[in-house]
Amino acid sequence: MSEERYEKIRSIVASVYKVPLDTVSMDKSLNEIGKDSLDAVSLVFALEDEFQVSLPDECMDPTRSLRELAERVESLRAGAPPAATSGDS
Amino acid sequence: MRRVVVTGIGVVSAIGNTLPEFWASLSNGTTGIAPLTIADPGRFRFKRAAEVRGYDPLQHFDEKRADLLDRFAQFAVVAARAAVADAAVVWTPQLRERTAVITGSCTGGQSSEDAGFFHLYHERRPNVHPLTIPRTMANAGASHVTVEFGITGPSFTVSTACASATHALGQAFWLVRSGAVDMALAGGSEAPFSLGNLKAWDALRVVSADTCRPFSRNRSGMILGEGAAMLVLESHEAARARGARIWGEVVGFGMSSDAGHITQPNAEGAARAMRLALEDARLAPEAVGYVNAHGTGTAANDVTETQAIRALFGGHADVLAVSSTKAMHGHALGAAGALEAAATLLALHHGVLPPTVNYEEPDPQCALDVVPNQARPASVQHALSNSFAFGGMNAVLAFGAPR
Repeated sequence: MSEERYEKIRSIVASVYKVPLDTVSMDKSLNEIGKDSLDAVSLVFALEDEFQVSLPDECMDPTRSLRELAERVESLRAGAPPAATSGDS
Repeated sequence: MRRVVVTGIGVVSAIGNTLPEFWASLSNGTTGIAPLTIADPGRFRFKRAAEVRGYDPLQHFDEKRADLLDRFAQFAVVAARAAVADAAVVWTPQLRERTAVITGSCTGGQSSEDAGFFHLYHERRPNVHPLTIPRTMANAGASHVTVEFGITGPSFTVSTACASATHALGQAFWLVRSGAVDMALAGGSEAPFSLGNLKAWDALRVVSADTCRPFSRNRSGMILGEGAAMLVLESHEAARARGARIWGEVVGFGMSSDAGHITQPNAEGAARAMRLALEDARLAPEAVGYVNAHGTGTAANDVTETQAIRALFGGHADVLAVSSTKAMHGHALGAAGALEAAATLLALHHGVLPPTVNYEEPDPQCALDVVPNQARPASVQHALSNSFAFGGMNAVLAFGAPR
């Protein structure tokens, strides 16, 4: 994934969780960034909106690292079949 | 059964975001009805509204908290904070468990819902914001108030259209009176100015293209308002024991249903609710010196309310002062009953009756002393506050001056 895309994801995370950008490391899990489940769903919304993808529920596993989440977003963008969701088009 | 008093009041309204400003406007007859700014007036028949002004969410909440709160819930929390500070409540774990939070709201966070639906239907985005549900739910105001103060007692929200806050205050009064709780933080909040909701009101043809002129012969409808009021209720004994300042007493509450038309009011239903409030208060009609009317300024309400008052009070209606403060703070829907309860208590406390402003021509069908245009000093012992809602739901509170 391009550096730019990682940076974009970091800045979205920082903005949703309202934490300083420099505390958002791609190796951290969502749990380590913030414990609020509402922040987690807000992050899904923001990522789906930005990258025009539909993220399946298991992406939001709060124990996974941001890097794993970013790679999932990237593969969905690249056209890998998403897991079954009830998204609209 | 215990006597119940009001020891704290907090308001957010078109006529003031603090209690002193609110009272100053009421006693000066200053209206908060002004040209619509929150939406484009070109899109509606009506051009005016009673908007809250000078309100910045970030002065009251950090960004993270503000994100969770629709405007209506923000108003509820801001008003609750002010009421609690005004009452100088000293929280203990026991009091937190023995306090109820009861709010009224018609549409809750519909502005958040409207924004979400705009994305969905108009912009054809695949999703609405995930916080839409927690922001929109009508109980959000009450919930956030319980979180704010760590209140673990009973909490709920009442939805009875324009009578919501009166019903909420009435329930709070009964819970404190019966001893089920020791304190209640109750009132209402509303922020109904999304485009969709305003369009819905416009279509009903009850909002005036002019302004709100309750009881006036040339009245032509209501004016929508927004805001919140929250009151602290506790037992008279507890208030005295802790040296709290008492604004006034809640002495009775009455409710009725019209079982008639879904929007047209009915004088029998209204009179019954007032009568029941007086019976609950063990007061004779002649003991009432002032009525804060529902007084929306619609053709239907004002004449029906006049009939109900005349039917209940008989000859006493000739000397009874009846004013509608909606001409100043607008019709704040789910918050109306609470703003009006606050106005009524302040009137009793200060010995000054707020006027019905914008009054131009007497209407023979609304032959009442409406305290036209100018506030009037008057020492009144007991007052009623009326709310007669769409769907024929009537709620009336009876208040007593502090003694």
